[in-house]
Amino acid sequence: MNRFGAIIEQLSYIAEPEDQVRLLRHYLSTVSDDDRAAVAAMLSSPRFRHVKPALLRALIRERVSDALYALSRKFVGDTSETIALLWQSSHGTNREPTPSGVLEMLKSAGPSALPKLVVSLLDTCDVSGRHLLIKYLTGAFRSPVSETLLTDVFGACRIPATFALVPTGRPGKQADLFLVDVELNPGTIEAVLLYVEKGRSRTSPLLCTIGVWNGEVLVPVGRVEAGQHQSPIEVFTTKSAVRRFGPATEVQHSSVAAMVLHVSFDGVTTSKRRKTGLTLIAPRIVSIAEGASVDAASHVEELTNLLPPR
Amino acid sequence: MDATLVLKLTPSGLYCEQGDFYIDPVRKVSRAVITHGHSDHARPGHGAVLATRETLDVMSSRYGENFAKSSQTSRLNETIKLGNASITLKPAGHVIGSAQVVVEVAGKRVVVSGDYKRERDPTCPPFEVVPCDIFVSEATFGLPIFRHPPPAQEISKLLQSLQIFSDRTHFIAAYSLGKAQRLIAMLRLAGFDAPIFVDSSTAKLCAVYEANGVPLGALKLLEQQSAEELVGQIVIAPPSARASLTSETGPNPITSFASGWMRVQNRARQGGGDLPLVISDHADWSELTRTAEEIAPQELWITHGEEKALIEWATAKGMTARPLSIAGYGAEGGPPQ
Repeated sequence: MNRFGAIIEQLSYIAEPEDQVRLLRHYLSTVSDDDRAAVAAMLSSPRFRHVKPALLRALIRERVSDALYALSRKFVGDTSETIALLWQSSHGTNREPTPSGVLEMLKSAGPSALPKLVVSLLDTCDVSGRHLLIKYLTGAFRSPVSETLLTDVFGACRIPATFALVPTGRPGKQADLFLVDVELNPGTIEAVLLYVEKGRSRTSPLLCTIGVWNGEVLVPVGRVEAGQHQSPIEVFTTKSAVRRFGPATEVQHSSVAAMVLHVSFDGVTTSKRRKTGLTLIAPRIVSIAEGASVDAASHVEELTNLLPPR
Repeated sequence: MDATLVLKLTPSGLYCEQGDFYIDPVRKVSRAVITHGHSDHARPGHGAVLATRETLDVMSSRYGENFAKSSQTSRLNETIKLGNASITLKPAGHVIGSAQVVVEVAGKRVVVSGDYKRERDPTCPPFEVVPCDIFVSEATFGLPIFRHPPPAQEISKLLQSLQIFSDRTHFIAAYSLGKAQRLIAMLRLAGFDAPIFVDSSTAKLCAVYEANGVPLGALKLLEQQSAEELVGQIVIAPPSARASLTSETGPNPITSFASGWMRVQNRARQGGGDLPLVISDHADWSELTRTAEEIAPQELWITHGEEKALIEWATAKGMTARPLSIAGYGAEGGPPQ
């Protein structure tokens, strides 16, 4: 996991896409078939939330004083990275796991065993391995290599998702970490941009709340990072701001002005937080539907049909 | 005598009244003891300067032979009387010639670390722990997030990149004093024996290292090469030299910056290039805390860097610690601008 973590970090610094492909290809040529499959699965799809950030914050609080944590977090500007940097691997623990080993362990760990597994994984990894793990486990991991390039590297077939981990129940408790098999139904929709929120630090991407039609009203169905579409979205937000709610700006979404986005996702899951009762898993903006009217947006029924059977 | 009276902080820097001298003054003074050759610690234009021979060589290479009105060489471990004070230079392990200054007045001892590290460095002798009443420590990387990886690991990252991207020049931005020579020496230790290309400012300082018994292998001047000759080669130069590498024909170089700041991703994204290397000549958090514990001074004074966390740590350990903000340090050790 350490080498994979280091490669992910290095990929994120490399400016030229063809250089990224070269590095990734070289790395893949040096690992086992199992690890290649695991790496492909982690990079391409799907991304879930195995572990709540609250668990990690609680674990780091046991290890570092609040004052030192606060100074560190302020300097680093990112919680996952801060925890990865502050965590001290303990000597004499097991060998660091391979990517396929990590996926196997996560798959076979029961809900009550998960917090302990997280600790032992973080103990055995180095900073790069820990950073990747924390991002992956909390669902914050995003491939530094674009989907097009990944398709180039791994071939046209997408790696099928054989298992997935999602949290259930009330948030904030360790016991809520459950491991369940979910059926994923990936798809694409036309969604309307509703709110735009600045990221936590200057460098993090804009977060877009997107919605679809539910009868006559547009309802939110998920949040997606602006990614490479950052600048047109920024321009639209400035031009079409309606009002502000704290860090979020509501933008126009009427027949007069609206931004319609072509969004792909790995699946749909139930969500108590959303009025629609559902939310998209790992949505990403494919393109901006230039000139599309708000009427062209998808309807919520398209998503309800993709919910896994109870 | 109270140990806290041995040194006092003035606008020009740390001053010893009993010996009438400053340590690494940030303004021109009549008598200065210089810990090492980095430009924020070693400034030109003082009256008399006392330092190791290597540090004096660095100053004269950078500022010309008349960098001060007079200069005096001190060997490491040699004790010299200055007025009512005596001083001894002890190795600091930071760059060539780098020294801690041990100041003794009436049986009280204060040690000024200057910049230091504990990690092995083939270009200078290792830091020596000197028991004392007051330890004046740097704190460039004084946050628990900073734990530098083994430098050999970073060097192998570079060598591996050179294998994968063998058709590309590898441009490593590094300070011309210290970091550049340490990188070269570590590449040699790792078995890399091809010529390494350096710019003329780095080359001048490499000559100081060679003259003081640190072999660096085959070096070639960057300014005399065509873009074709640099393909697949390692170039080590200050960041400003990157501009000289633009070629209309050749492929872009793989760029890299070697610094302890590269540990944190938002810093690495602001100038680390394609291959940030976490290699530092400053003590990391574990070295800073370990050193304070080993010396166990009555008081820990912390000069430049991230001092808050270190003070927090020391206080929690029951030590007396206080910040000693000296404006003007950090030009070469500080974060990339």
